Amino acid sequence: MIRRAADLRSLRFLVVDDVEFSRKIVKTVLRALGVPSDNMREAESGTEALVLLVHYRPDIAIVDYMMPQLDGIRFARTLRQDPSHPCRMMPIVMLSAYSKARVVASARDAGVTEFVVKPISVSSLYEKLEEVILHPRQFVETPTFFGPDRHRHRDRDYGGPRRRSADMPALADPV
Amino acid sequence: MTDKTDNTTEHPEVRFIPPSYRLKAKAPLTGEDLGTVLARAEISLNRHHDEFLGKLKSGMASLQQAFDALLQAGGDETAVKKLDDEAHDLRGLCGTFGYRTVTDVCAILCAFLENRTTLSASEIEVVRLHINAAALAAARQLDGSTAEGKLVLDGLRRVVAGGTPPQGTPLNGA
Repeated sequence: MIRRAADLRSLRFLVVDDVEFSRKIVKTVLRALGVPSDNMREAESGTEALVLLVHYRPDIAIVDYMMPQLDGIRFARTLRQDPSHPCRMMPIVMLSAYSKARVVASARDAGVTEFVVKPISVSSLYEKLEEVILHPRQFVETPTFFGPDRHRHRDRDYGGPRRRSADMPALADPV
Repeated sequence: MTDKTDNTTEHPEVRFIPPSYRLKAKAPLTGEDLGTVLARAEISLNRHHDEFLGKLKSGMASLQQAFDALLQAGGDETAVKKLDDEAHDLRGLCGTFGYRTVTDVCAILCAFLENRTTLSASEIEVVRLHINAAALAAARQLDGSTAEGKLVLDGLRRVVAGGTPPQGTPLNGA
């Protein structure tokens, strides 16, 4: 059975990485996937990206984790925590050679939508883009978090034991 | 994308905002086979292969320089950090262009350096094995699935775990 590709021509992207060659790789892949050059902007840091977002409204940001000034996680947190920012709910795809669970967890807790472990491949990047396009998640707002729901699949008919910390006061508030 | 719906009754401090399908509407599925599209993108990416080789060469030189500085400095914190940064950069790049074993060697090195701020003389020797292995993998575009590639990677993992590489591991003097 043929798996059909998504038509990315109308989407606008922001590519954020301090390494010029890395930005070039991502932009090459995007262009080959059908994204016109006019629909791509780039920034060398999270700080520059935040400035760019004042005028440019991308549909998706592809952001490196390790950058000087403002890294990818702080960029995501800054964006998600600004209630007035028009791009607050923009999908953020993070790229990182660090695949440790604590890094992935930090990214998730900062509101990152998807995480791609470097070295990237054409298919690994496409899969994550397709995920944010075809299977968007609901957003969750709590006093301490704003971002995509960390639970990808919510089964409303779930009847099993409830194990989330909020369901277990003894665990949520350890004495 | 910004319509908010408070549909939480159990935890009033939690607000759920329904997913937006705006991007799905903006990027509908085409009639084109995904495999064909990805293969085309691979070809485009490979047009940067020569440029990558230049980056690999300079990256390997920077890694060696960082190691030489580490030797000079006797494994001090700044030198360790610099070496880790160089290994991290190579790790994140090489696999994209078919140099997966360089990525794997650098990943093992980064894992070894994690939580180490300074290095003892014996730990510096462990790092030296990684530098040699990375140089070997880069020079021969070593495939980690071949016998030689596996020998290198398994040898490094054994050394990092506190053992010695198996006999015949081409790590010394590569």
